[in-house]
Amino acid sequence: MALVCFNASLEKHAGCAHLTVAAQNYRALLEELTQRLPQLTQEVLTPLALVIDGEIVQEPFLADFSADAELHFIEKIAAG
Amino acid sequence: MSEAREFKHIGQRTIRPDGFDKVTGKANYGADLSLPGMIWGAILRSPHAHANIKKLDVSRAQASPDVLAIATFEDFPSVNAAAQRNGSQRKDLMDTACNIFANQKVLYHGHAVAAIAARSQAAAIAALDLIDVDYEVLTPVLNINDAISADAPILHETMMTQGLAEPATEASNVSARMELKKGDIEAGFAAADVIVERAYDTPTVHQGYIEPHATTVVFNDNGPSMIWCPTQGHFDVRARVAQLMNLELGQIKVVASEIGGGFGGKTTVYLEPVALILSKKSGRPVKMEMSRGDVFRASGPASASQSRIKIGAKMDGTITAMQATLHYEAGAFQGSPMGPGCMTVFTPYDVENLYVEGFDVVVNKPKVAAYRAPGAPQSEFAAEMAVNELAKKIGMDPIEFRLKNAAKEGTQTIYGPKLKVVGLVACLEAAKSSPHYNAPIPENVGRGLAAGFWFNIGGQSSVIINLNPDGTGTIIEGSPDIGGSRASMQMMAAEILGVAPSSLNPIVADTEHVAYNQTTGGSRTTFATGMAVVEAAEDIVEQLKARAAAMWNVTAEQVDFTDGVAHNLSGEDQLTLAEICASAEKTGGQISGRANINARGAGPSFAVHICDIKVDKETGKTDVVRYTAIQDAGKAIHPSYVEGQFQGGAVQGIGWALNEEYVYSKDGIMENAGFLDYRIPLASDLPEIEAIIVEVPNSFHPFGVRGVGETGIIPPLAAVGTAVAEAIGQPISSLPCSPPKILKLLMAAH
Repeated sequence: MALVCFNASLEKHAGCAHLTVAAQNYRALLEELTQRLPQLTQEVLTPLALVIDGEIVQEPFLADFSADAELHFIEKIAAG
Repeated sequence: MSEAREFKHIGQRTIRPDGFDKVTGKANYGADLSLPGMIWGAILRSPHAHANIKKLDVSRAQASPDVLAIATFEDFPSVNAAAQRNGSQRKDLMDTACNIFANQKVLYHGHAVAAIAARSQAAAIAALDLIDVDYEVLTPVLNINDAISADAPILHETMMTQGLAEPATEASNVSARMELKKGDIEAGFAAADVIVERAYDTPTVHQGYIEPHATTVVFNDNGPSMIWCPTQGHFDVRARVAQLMNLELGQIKVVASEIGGGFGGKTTVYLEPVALILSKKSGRPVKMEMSRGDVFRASGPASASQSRIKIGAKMDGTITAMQATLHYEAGAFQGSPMGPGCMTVFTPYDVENLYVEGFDVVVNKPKVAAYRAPGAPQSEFAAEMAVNELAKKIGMDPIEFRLKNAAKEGTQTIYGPKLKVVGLVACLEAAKSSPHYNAPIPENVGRGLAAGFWFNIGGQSSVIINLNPDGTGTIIEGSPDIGGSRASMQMMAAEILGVAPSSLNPIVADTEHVAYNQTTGGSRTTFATGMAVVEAAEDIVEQLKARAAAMWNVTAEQVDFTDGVAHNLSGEDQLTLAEICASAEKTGGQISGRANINARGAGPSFAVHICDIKVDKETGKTDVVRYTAIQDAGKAIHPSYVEGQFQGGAVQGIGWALNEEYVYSKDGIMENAGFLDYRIPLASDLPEIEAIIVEVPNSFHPFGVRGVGETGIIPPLAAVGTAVAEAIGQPISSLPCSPPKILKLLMAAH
């Protein structure tokens, strides 16, 4: 099961700091999270980048990850 | 890429393909295009920092024979419709529109109110006097303290603070709050032997690009309209203008001219939509330029900030807790880089207990834009100053203190993920053994050292490489070249194809001739567009092998391609790339490679800077007497340009730390909107910036590249601040360390 960790701002929506998920790709992850945590809506999650085992994926729509991956949602990084 | 590799072209210092045109004046920048029948646009700007527009009357201007078109906020068709809808994107678009033209209210000195097109620039400027505006002047909000005070005038009546524990119920000048945490901050401070707590502030500063914004635009009813402008992202200019003007993307072609600096400041639109409106109304090509004063007053500077930092450590040097409260000015509309500021503030440190709270605050100043590593210099300045003070209190060398607590592979950041392989320790070790750090500190000189971190990004890049029948070729890319990237693209393609870099001509195509590319910024171009170049070149190699196989009547698997030569593994035959291209007609037509990617795997970059500063204690004047910039580049494709990025970032950071600041009157009028009064460092002000390239390869890039454009501006603020503090024997908490401030500190101490 992949581990999803929420930062302090997302924790307010999620109601927990982390949880494990059965999903192994981004679309399944969104579906699972929004079903299990109704306040964590698509509107909250889709503007964010997904970090998979330390790699920031700015556009994660097609991203896959392993069953033991560590996942974080973070603000997309802007350009300078 | 995980092991050391030998390269033929990567790592060489080739001649830049755009250099000759630039040094001979042949290169065409934003203001260099003139067209038959062209007229000029000019903008009427607000003389007030905060005022309601009671009346905007353009009738006298309309009646003037010199005036060919007038534009105001009312000319944005889709924004008026968008205003009826909800959603963050619409809000963002509305803010962009309201920044380009004030909508019933001016929010900063220099805010555009209306524009006029006339036959000459002088006529357009003169006709601005024919526009009548009645203002109801309001009290301006000019800094964070004023903005967050209980009785502050509210800039936007509908703006509620996002991110609070409970939903906001009243309008506020604070648009957003962000919170990040790790571990137990209270327990961390309880475990500390020594605690440093201090407040810091940084001023509003400008990127200081030498080329002002300019554009030439032709509206076309029967085909794509053309926009010529200096920009870091011509595809985003196209998208922004299309949204504002309710046009399809295919109705606009944007040509990126050569660009005289951007540093993040040329990632949005100011003049382009205005010129398109004027061109549409007049039926003529329209040219517009910002004056230097306009650039200062009405483009996007970097946020001013206020930070409170608290750090605790044990006497053995172990940091036990780090805490920050960060406020960022967004300017007149929400959207400062508060988020990345919060995420980067403590990332150079592997510490168990962290807490960061950030606030985005609107004030009556121009809407901020990105500036190299947006948000990071402000927060990391505060953190690094406190770290240096703490190291001194404990009695540890600042490098040893950092090495004891340095972020490394596996460090869990405050924004969540664990770092992969990074080069901070390598940079600190390089600093420790550098000639500069081992040189004695001269008399009356202070020495400062600081570290910096930036994420770097990847993103979308598209590249086409066309080969000619003689084996030369063209690299068609869509990333505006703001730092020598065309040379890097040449070198990476040449490395794969085994040809001389000079045989490949790199061009930045307009939005019609190459697929979408994200903006040049975030240190993404050499990494992401470079990956696309490599992929396109590898596409060509496969085709070259197939063509050679066809010539030899063997399979492609029986062909090897090395150093520009195809080898028949079933015999002795060889064909050079040029020979294969020469016979392309016989084997299926001409050869081109293509790549459209959304690059992942950008490698973060760390830097460490060392600064020696001499202070004249009678005048407060500062002189940087020695400066060294050390940074992890992953792999330096072109070392000269990498060093140039290090040096450029250092110089801009030195300016931010020593002299640069927006100065406003109490009424919100900017009083130093020119380079005579806004003091950026000149070449004659500074010593040679010594650059040390550290190479800890990024395994996600074929050559190991990490972006290098951002991180270099982060450490100078605290390296300089600490050096000044050491030189005068007084703590520094406010930038810039300008002579009046230094004198005040010295007088207070005596």
